[in-house]
Amino acid sequence: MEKTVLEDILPFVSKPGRYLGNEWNVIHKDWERAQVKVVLCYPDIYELGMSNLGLQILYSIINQRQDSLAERVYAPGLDIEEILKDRGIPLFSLESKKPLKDFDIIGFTLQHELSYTNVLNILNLANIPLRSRNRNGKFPLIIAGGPSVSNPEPLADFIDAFVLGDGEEVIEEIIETYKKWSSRLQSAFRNKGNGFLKALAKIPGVYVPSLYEVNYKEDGTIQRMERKGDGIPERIDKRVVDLETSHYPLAPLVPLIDISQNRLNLEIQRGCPHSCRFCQSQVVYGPCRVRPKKRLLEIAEVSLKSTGYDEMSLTSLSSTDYPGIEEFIGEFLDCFGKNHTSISLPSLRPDKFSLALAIRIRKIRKTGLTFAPEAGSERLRKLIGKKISDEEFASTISQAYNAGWRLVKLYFMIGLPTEEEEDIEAIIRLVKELKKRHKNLNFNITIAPFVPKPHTSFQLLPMEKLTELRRKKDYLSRRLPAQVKGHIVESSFLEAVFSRGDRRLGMVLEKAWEMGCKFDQWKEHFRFPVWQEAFSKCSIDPDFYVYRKRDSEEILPWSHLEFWGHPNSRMA
Amino acid sequence: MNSVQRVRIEYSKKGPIRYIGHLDLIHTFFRALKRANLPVSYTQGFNPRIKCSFSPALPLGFASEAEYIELYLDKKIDISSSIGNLQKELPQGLTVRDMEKLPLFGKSNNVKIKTVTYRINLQQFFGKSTVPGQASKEDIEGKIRNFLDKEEIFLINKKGRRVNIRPLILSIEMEKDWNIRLLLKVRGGFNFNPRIIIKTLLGVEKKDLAFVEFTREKFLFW
Repeated sequence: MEKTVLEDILPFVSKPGRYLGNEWNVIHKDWERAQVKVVLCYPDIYELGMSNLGLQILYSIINQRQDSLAERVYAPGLDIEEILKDRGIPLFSLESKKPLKDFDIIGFTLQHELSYTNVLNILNLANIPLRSRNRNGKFPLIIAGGPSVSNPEPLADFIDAFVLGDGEEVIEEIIETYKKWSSRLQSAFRNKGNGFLKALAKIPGVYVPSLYEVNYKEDGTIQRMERKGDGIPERIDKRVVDLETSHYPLAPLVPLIDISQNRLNLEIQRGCPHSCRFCQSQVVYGPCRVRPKKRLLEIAEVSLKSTGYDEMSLTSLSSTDYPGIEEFIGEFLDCFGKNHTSISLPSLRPDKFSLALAIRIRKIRKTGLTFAPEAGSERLRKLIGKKISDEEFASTISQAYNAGWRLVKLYFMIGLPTEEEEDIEAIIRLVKELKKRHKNLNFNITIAPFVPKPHTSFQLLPMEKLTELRRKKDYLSRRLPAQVKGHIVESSFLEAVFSRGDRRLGMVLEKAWEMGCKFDQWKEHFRFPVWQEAFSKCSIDPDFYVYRKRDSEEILPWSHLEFWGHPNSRMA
Repeated sequence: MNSVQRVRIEYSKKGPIRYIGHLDLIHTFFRALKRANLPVSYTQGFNPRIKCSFSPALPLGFASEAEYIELYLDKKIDISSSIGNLQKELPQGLTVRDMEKLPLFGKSNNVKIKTVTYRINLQQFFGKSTVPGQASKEDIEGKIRNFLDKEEIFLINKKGRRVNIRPLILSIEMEKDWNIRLLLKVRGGFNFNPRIIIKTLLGVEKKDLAFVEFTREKFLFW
């Protein structure tokens, strides 16, 4: 697209800064000289996509290669989407403003299931056929990675290859394979054809869904996954990189407009040392590995200089578990604190040690304090693996109060396995007790329905019925002496369908998208009745995926995907 | 530490970066100052901030040849090398025009500004807009005359209040190359968005203004 065309559009869209592609540290490479052109896509708005560390890492790795380039695209806002459609302009990348179709590879990150309609919408806006089988070699190879690939089956008809686990190494192997085949194949068929897909499937961690055929039993469960041909792996193991040596961007992109996480991300640890039984993240990102302190300080020094950020977030699933975190923070503040650089710690555990660290870095005014006890009763917390006693929690809160916090955010789940009325009452009791101790302490409480996720200890269990979840949520909202924010239970239901479902859901997804569903994660765009209609039009019963207790012998849609590394430890 | 120097950095804003708003631009500058390693002063207190003041907010989409930052420094700097250092760290479209020393104590330009001049280019507007008919220079001049003949012109400001903007308009003139020059008084720091004035003047819809190019030219102290 000509730059002037964009300039004609910008006056008509809100937040035009999203589409400029002029971030600090942006990389504009010579289009003609790159053999492999990749466009990385976060299928949601710019402000979320730019905050994602994974894409920053891949952007940097690909652009470091002499033979490749990486550009970016995010889900366009509804206003610009309309203009693009009206004027027949295909969706373009931010850097070179080239149509997505002109790239060799499009890489999506799947952060959550409710972004799937956006994936289809983006392909459509790029004039690319949605289904893999309708795309010939003239179209880019479409790959996807990220946490939702823990069960990618609902997208199996649309995505050519999924990437399981850490992407740092496998992305280069995909590029190498692509290069080998693109020169060998005629240009018209440069990337498709079975040979190429089979070659991709040989890369560890790469799952090519079209090479497998799923047979179903009469009761709707899976009979078997049949491989189409030789040399196709029976089981795909996720990739795990060594954080001591793996690539990390030293000049990450700095947006010129505000985004949701507008600070430097320093990933100190990947995976989590705790094994909460409901948690899928520790499975997806595990095993727990730390980036060495020396390397972190080097990265911090260089990237603070290259970005000009004055705040750095020490990210991981549980940052306070980083070995020697106290000394690390001390050293960090010694090195950079005098230069007016502050640290923030996401994901604090509700214990005293974590709180002491929070006090140390003194972010009281700027950020609130967030804890996730998840369940109200000690019994239930113990069952789900969140080992913290009422007493310890209460005294942590008291300590926070004494340190000056007046607002604390709490996360609870409802519909957990074995949950009784008593456990719901326990949430209320816990909060009331804390309120009694500290009259001026306020709580913002988020209530989220529990979704039994693939590859967790609870994967075979049904989700609790919507009616019950609604009732519990309403009850808590009424009774808790706090500001209560509840997830839309219907959107959790949909999340459950698509995280636990199989390939047949591709039909529903396409139907719902045709009927106008997109940005389903956003309250203002989520339309459950439309989804219900899509299910019924496709004669697919969503309850089958959500409410059914699965047999331990059952072949699950994700049984051939290995995230633990040790198949037998799954139910430990 | 105590500030030992104050400087004014004058810069222009052109091209796509026009679409970066005032607050975002401030953060963009803060990061550039940090990358350029200028010895900026920080405010005291719990959340120290870079000690400086920016020229009045520029509406989104406006270009400018008149922006400035007044910046306090902990160490004295060499002006000419600092211009280069800072320029290297600025995104495309932001250009340092000049840097000058100011007395350490003294009022900011922000409080001295009495008038702002804008250049409003209509060339693209007549090329691309959906406004019917080809306007001539004389048409526009006629519209300007009618507009200025009125004693009161009530427009709705950002806060939704009806304001008589006629006393704020010092002059509107048609110049060559389809440029209109507008001199607008600043009253109590209140900077009325020229877009609304031009919209009323031309008698068009808001969407038609998309191709009118607005450039802030100068701040005047009279």
